Amino acid sequence: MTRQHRGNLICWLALVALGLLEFGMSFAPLPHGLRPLLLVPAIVMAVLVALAYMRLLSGPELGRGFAIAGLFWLAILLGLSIMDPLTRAVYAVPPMPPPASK
Amino acid sequence: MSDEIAPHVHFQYADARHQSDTALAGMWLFLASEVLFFGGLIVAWMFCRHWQPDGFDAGARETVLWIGTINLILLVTSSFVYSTGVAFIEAGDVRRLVQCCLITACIGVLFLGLKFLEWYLDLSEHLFPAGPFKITGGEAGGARLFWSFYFVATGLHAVHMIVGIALVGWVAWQARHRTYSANWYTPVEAVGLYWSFVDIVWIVLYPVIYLVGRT
Amino acid sequence: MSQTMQAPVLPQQMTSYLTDGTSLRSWLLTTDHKRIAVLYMLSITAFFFLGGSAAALIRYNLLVPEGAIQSAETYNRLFTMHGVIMVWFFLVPAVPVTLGNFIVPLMLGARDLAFPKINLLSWYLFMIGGVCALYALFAGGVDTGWTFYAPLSSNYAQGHVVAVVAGIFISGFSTIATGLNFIITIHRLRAPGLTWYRLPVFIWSLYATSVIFVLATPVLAITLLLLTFERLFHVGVFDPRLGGDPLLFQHLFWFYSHPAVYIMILPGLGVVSEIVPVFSRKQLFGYKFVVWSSIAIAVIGFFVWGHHMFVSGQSLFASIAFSLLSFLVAVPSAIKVFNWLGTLHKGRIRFDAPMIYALGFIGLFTTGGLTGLFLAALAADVHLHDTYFVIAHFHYIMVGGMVSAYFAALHYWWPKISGRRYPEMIARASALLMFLGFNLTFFPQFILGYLGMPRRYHAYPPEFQVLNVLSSAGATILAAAYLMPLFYLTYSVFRGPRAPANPWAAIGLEWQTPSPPFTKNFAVTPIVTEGPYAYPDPGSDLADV
Repeated sequence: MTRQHRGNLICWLALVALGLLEFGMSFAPLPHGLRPLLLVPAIVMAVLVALAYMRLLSGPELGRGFAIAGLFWLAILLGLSIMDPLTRAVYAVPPMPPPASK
Repeated sequence: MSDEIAPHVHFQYADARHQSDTALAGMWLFLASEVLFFGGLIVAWMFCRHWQPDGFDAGARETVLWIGTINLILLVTSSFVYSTGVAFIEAGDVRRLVQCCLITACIGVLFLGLKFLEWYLDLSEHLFPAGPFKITGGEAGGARLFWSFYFVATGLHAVHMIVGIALVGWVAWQARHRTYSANWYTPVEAVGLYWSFVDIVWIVLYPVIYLVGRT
Repeated sequence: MSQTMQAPVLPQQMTSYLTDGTSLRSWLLTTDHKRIAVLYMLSITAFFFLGGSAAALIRYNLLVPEGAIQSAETYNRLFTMHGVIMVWFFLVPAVPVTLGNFIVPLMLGARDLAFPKINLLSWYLFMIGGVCALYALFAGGVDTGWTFYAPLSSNYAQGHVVAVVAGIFISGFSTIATGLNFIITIHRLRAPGLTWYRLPVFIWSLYATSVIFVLATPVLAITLLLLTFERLFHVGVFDPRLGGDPLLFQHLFWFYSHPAVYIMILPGLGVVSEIVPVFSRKQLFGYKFVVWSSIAIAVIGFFVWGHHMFVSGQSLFASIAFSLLSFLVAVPSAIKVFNWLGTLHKGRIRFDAPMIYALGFIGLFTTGGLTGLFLAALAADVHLHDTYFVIAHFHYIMVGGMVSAYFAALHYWWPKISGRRYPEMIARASALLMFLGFNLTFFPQFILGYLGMPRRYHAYPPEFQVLNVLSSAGATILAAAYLMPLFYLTYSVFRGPRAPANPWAAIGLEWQTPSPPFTKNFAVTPIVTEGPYAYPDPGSDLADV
């Protein structure tokens, strides 16, 4: 088996292992705020796919630049937007019955 | 550059390598735009989860975990198979490339089949966010928000899958007509980038949909 | 000459792109970037006059305090139509798809863009989206404003919201494709010797614009999809009664729409950076500052969208952050203005029509930009938000700035595109008339806004009438100033004197080609050895450049 094929296979095994890991982790009792940590194995899987199957490092250099740009802008989108709900002052309103007609 | 590659090179490019690298760079740039597209959806998920934590999780608990997990394994495997196909054409083996493409497409179709089954199960449980809804009471609002996110996200992902399957099928068809060789197989790589990206979207959507809310 | 071309070896056929195939099919199925640019030019001209007609009706309505057109409903549909058409079907495409498509490969010494077929697809997507939106707007329209705020647009608005939104959604893909094409072309198809720092500023500006095209537009796409879902199913994503957050819509919408205003202005900034050196016969002052300012505007422009939401209920912490970042984004724009002034200083200035438009741009853009700082200040914005001050601010930049720049670019490159010269004196008169008409239309609006007249109201208190009448009078002059080029430029295509390859004696690869260029642009790929603005120092003899 060539080096390329071996690399692909090892990556596949790692991906399946990570998938099962996050599946298992989801049964652990984590508080609501920490549940998004379950995304960490998923991000590792995404990076593995990008490196191994999408050949991020051996492909055109410009491709790497665009990938990093996409992630940077995603971080801006997610980070700056969540800043508002996290810091909003919420004034309690008595609960309303759901509207009668829909 | 040998003549056999010359027909593929368009007039505005210096040589085949120039064109090939350009095509792949173009696909990466397109994928960057797709990252922002799905990113907007994640913003909606974050906001809804923040404002309706109980209802949102109540909705998330109704997802069909086994289908989601099997689909994750399927897609990850399909990326592996397609990538193997690229490795084969790099070595000049067209026959194996065609086989890998067909297997990839079949896995994609299987994914969609399971997806449609899952939607059928969701709909028959009254989990579509409009109309009569399975969850009632105080958590209904948040649950409806979760299921709105669910249908939009999985719907958009399915559309991308359909496009991906069509592209993989096209690559297989081109390969059978002897278009590719060890010297030139750029469309194979470009489609592979797209397919792996659609895989990555599911890799991220899987915990977001099936795991995070499942307390 | 600072940029040289090897001795051309003439191929068998050297026909101008305009005559290389005269059938309708050869135009509608072309992949030649120059023909696609012309197709776009015709389309956006039509949209410009449609959007302008809506504006004319708006200004007509505002002549009397009770509103000359009786119903508020009609007025709302008019300003929505004006906004939607002008933003998405004129300003966002304007310079990039017309002058950009035409000039970018020429400036790079390339024979076409990287992906010519995708370029053609772009035009078709634009047309389909445009027809979709126009159908909706004429079939009864939409009254939400171009900003489509939820829950008005998702729950209460009557009208063809989904159809308009679909049209905008489709045209969004057109712009993503164009941006992708430009970025890849600029990276990969530069002529030998054309290093990044030898690129014309126009290229840098279009690169910055394209970054925004590619990265911001997808967020608009998902926003419009969610809006459509909400409108169809009323699940409450944006509805507070059902647990949703209306600010979610605003965050997602403005994440695109604020960078969109930089999409609209960056090409204009690039055009002015091209024209000022040529008509001052002087090096562009501070080239590196100018080009990196374009990039800075594109990047920082993504961090400021919350300044549209200061009074919407956004957290105070977020508002402070966005306010600070908005002050920051003004800096690169100011740097550009100072660099233009530095270029003009001690130059040999010629007041041709493109230069008049460009000089007008500098003043009007600066005014608009400075008033943006008023709006970026939290306390001032509380008073000024949703008043005519905001309208005047963005019209100074969009119309005083960008439309002037579009006309400047059109006149500057007209000889190259059409192979004809336009009548110069009429053009200069038009440019001056536009400057006058524009200021008469929009300066009173600053005062109206300061005095408290709200925007998007079909009627107003009687004490505002004088200023409104002045504004409407200005609009009439402005309309005339826009119609004149339509006539004399069209006339010049058929009857104008033929233009030489380089009528302005400018430096740049596009001026090395004949007017109009051959289909394949260059017979031999040029080799570049110097920068793009290497005009001889003023004071030295002006030999034929």
